[in-house]
Amino acid sequence: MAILKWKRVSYPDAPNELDALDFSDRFQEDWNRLFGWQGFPETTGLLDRSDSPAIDVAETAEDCTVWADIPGLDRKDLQLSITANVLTLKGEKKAPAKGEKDKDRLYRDETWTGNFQRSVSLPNSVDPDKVAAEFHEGVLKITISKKAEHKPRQIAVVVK
Amino acid sequence: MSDIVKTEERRRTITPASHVLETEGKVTVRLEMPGVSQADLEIRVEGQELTVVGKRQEEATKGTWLVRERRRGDFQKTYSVDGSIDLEKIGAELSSGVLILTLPMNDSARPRNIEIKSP
Repeated sequence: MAILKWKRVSYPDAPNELDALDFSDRFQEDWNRLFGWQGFPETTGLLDRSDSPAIDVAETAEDCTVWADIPGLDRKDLQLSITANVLTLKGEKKAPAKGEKDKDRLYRDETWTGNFQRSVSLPNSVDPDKVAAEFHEGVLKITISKKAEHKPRQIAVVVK
Repeated sequence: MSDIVKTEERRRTITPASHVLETEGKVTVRLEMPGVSQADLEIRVEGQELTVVGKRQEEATKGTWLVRERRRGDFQKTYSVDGSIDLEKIGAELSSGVLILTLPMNDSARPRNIEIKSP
């Protein structure tokens, strides 16, 4: 039996050190499979409860992109600000209409609502004047360009 | 040996966060599915089962990840519905990443008052 390197199964591109959630997901899945539970913990997962949006940040040579999952957010309730290289998302995720009458029954609520604020430190090379943000299908995407002096440049070599 | 090593290609599914409220004559189910467009959403009723599948388009990202918290995978949730729900009249609406399903109850399942007639 050869000793095989563990393969990254689903997401071969993911860096390992940022993979805690991925790991917890898979752990839960394996556990479920072991006991034959079909999606047994019907909630979205033990480690999932948080009162701020989950974010992703990716960096390329040209820019930095931030994604945030904020389903059900009204665009008017969101404020974005950037100071030097710190991007702040602030807003309020409103609760859906509550049952007002006594007869109304709330069976399950796994969603989070309320005020949130999150600051993200971006690399120093970003240009705070070049920010573009869009909100689409509950996903906020912010692209911040890098300062021109930090972008890679092609240097032409003249052959004499 | 090579068949053991082969990489398994499978999509992970996530149970969307839900909010289930019964109001007069109907049940409203809200499922949070950020990043799912209407075209990638499938809602089907088979027998007594209502299944919602939302496929999420993975964004092709270049570069390196600095933070990675958002969960990957497709959304899936199956509810079993009994006879008290009128399966023909289920309504669905997708707005900013939240799917709102409206399940009207059959008249027979609604509470009603019975009038007592005086002889």
